[in-house]
Amino acid sequence: MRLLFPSFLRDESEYAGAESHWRDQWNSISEFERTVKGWKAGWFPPQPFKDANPIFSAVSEKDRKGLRIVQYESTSSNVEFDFWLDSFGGDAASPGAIRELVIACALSVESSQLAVERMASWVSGEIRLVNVSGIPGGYTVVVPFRPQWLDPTPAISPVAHCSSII
Amino acid sequence: MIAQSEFPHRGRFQAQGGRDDGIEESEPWAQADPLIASDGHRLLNALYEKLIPSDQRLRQNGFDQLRQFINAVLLTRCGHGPIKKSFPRKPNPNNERVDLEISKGLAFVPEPDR
Repeated sequence: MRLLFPSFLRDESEYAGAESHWRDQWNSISEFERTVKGWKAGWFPPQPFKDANPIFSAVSEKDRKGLRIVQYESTSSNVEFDFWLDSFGGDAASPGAIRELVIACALSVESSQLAVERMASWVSGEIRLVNVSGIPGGYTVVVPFRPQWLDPTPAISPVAHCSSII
Repeated sequence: MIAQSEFPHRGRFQAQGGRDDGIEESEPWAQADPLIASDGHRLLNALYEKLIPSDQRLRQNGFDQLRQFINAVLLTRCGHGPIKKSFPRKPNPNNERVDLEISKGLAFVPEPDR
């Protein structure tokens, strides 16, 4: 595993480097899709706290979707990567709510790659929230099938909190 | 009666995640004036008390970090929404967490001068 900006919480230049890295990753996603769907980086205004919670955010008011990336210091020699869906401004079923993809990771070459894949799927609409049961509130996260997500190499053990993979 | 969405200062604390379907408990605020930091602590404590002891233990670190954040905002006066944060920053194994959402307005301000 190749860590990136490992001292980002203690070194301002590394923190700026990590912020720049996430902007670059965001910009690597299809510009056409981002533009058509009205995505804008910087959903949450910058704060004086350099705690990387979040370190990057973006929102599409048009799609009522958001993205939030939380970065933490590495605590393991394995790839540390989690993601889940949440909502902002009300429950997922609320008409005014923004559904958000949250990614939390220790930044490495490998976790960054995993993050970009999920960001791209979220923007394109491949990752989505559906009510398959018909029960109010009975929403299930549907994630596109990616063999490498299910069969990571021994060095990569991403944890997904999404509940259904098809 | 004023709808919650019409108040200029609003947000919520949420306890979420956990095994199986996890839990979803929240303590919202929606008011005409900015949320005072001590009221923020009171709401957060009320959320903590809603949880059963095992759920409290799993989120202890998250609650502690969020309390520290409220105190930091009180000092720096930078609790302008929108803000969304998840605690602890490094997720627990089953993503037991506490979220802070300031949807709009200002939160964790000092007590007004009497």
